[in-house]
Amino acid sequence: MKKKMDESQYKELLKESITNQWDKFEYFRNICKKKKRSIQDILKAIDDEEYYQIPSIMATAFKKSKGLFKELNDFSHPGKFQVSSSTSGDPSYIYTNQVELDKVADNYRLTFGIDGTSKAIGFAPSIRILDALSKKAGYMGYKSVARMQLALNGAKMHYNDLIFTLDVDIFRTLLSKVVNGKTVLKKKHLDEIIHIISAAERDHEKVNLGGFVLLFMPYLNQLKEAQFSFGDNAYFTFSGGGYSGAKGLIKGDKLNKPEMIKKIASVFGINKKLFSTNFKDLYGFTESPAINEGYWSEDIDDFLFESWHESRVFIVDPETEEPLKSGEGLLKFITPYSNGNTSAANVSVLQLDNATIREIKPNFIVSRFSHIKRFQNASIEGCAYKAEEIANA
Amino acid sequence: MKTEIEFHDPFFTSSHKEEKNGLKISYPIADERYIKEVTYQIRQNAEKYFSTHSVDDIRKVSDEVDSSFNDLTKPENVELIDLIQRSSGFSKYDIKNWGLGLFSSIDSYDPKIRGYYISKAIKEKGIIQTSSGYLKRFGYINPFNKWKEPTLLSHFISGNVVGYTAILSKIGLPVKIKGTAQILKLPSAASFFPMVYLQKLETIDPDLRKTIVCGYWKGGDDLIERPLIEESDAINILSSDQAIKDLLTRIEKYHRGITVLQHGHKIGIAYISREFINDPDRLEQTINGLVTDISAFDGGACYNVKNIYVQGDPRKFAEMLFSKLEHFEKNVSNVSNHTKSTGLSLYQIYSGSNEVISSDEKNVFVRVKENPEFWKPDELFRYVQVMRVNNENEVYGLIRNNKHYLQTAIIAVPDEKIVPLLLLFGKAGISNIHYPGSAPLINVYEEPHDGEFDAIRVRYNYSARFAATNFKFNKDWIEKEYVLEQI
Repeated sequence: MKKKMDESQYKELLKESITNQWDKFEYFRNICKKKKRSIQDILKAIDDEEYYQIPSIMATAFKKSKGLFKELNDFSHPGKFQVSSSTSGDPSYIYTNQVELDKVADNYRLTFGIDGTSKAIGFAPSIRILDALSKKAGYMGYKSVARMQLALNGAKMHYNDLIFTLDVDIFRTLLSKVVNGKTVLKKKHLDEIIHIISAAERDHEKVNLGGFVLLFMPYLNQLKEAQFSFGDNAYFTFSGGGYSGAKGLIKGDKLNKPEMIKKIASVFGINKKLFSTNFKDLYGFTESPAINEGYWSEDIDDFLFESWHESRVFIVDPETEEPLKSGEGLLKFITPYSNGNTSAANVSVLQLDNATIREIKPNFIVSRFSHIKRFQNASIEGCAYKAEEIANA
Repeated sequence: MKTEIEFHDPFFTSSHKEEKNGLKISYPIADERYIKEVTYQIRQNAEKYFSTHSVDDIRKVSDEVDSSFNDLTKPENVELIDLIQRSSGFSKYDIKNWGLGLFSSIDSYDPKIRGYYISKAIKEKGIIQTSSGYLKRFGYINPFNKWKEPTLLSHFISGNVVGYTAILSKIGLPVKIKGTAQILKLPSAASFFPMVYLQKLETIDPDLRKTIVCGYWKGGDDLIERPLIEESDAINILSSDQAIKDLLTRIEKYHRGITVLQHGHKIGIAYISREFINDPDRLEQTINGLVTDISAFDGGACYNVKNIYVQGDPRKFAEMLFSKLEHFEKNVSNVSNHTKSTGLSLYQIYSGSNEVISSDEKNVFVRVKENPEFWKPDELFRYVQVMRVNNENEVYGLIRNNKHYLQTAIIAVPDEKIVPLLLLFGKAGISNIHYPGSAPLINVYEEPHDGEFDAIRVRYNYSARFAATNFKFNKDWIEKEYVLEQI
């Protein structure tokens, strides 16, 4: 169960975190100066619950290509870099202290975990793979951990019986290492997946199928309509996006979400009434510890996300960064550190994802949002980086 | 003021319309059903045309086309600059000076010595003195490779600049023996001038125009590109590394062994020696020149300077450069509207950084770094990095492992170092060594494009690379009156 954080607790923790961030990061002070905000202004805004006035750091500033590590991270405490999955080929690196790393994993435990469910199939790479990727991603002499690994660690805390569909083929890897040094992966066979699901169905056991849609869909596409009849015993919890057809190195077809939901329902025998409780998507990003849960809504034909209870979420104008009352804009998350001690300048983060406001509270605080999509920032096209768009436009 | 323009192609008869800044433009588009038929037709036309016209006659036609864009005071060219500006969004300054500015060196070049220096560089190993600089071959000529005329040459045109991309069809015109049929793929941006160029050719020599087919299709469309690859003897690609890789994979599959010219992602450099840092007058002229080398086409061209290595205080240099870049943007060459969002995004990221100089205008970004590196910019814009180096050998050490990205180097060094730098940077993989303020001005008769003489290379695999300077002494540029009179 998520512990409720009341407004006064949130305020106190936010004040502590933002003051700490102000003291540590000149980058943040410079941003505030440009926006004509002093620390006193910010603390007053917090007192007045006008959190939107806190200037935010662009999530993309943490990308490796930006080279701002020293200005955005504080390495004075033990910790690790959280690393994103790098769909763009340019991962984000956020230095995170151990308390916060544990917090992120716990946030995933809370959001992946379904009460009364101990069995899950993770359509995802195994922890072994992610361990290896994390080790490889070490940077500037600091250890790294893939954000995806924190997610799986969180899921593992909840589920006694968690099976991953993608793992290292140890025998073939040993052979391959001799020849070309490469790792060979193996996917679980469809029959194995069917066997696990059938056993759960037979035993009337609750099961959660989740992970990456891009790894789930190839299995789903091979299953037949009405192959199972789970009623309310099957849950689906996706995470990490990938609806556009790409997630890190995982590639697939672009997905139509309503069609996917219909297909899952028909294969697993899930009643429409359960769509808003049993079909869930998690929205989070490496630059923030917030994990937002979205349940399928037939009314909007998309997942309807609840803002993370420990964050204040705003949807802002992409150019002015002013908060909006309705419509769509960029997502801004303000999330205090659980111990107030920041290891990166990421208390207030502006993510380059568009979303639509669905429910709003006073002072522009968005409590529900939907239709998350990557913000398309038209940039120059040339025979350098972006000529791809020209050649392929 | 024109509001509607229709471009036609003799073979690609379908079209698509686009509207930009009140200008409705119709471009020809390729139809996959007729690619084979079209290639057959242009081959027939080329065979007939090139066997009945002498090399000299064709050169005269080509010169007439080029010279029509030379006088930029002519009303039709004034109107053309306006139309290109509206269709591409680039500043009129860039279009005039760097786009159409290319034609003055082409038009004024003595026809009798065209090809002379290139042939000499292929034959001789030493440093060749050209009329405006030096030219040097790197690598050996394979004596077993023979001259072979292609019968169909395909070009994938990039949309990042105005000017050079329009004259790619000149590569297919006869060099020694005969010309070739050509297919030109239009990019989705900056397609206007390549079509104007072909339109001009059509008015002067419609039969020569009929040896060329030009149109747009979505890059990667295998239904169109497969027959095109199968039919082509040579392919010239100006595009991103990813697009080139994709095409190479398919060329390997559909037509292995054909000649492929790969002009991918490039990152320009500049090296400014202490003699130019410590002399205020020379420093000012150097920075004035760099301003245009950085700003041309909003930093999206292959020749734009991105890495600036200085033998001095990088912050001081960067601050001076920033101030001039911003002034230039405001008063001479504005950032185009379609790249403004890149400026906003860079500003959102870097306005808090002490390492990047920027302002609320969001049009110019100068990064300062004490420890030098070969920096690969995260965005293409008027955005550079200034670094301190001890000397040119340190620059060589930084760039030599990035051969793939090298093309243009701007140098401001004492006269006696110009040739040694041609040798040193040429060895690293730089192909065009220019003086400040001339990065976009390639002399096609004396300088390679990205290490290659494309018109030769499609016919003869010399298996070497070339590098050239566009000046011999600093007095060639240092006494020039700058076009930045507005500054």
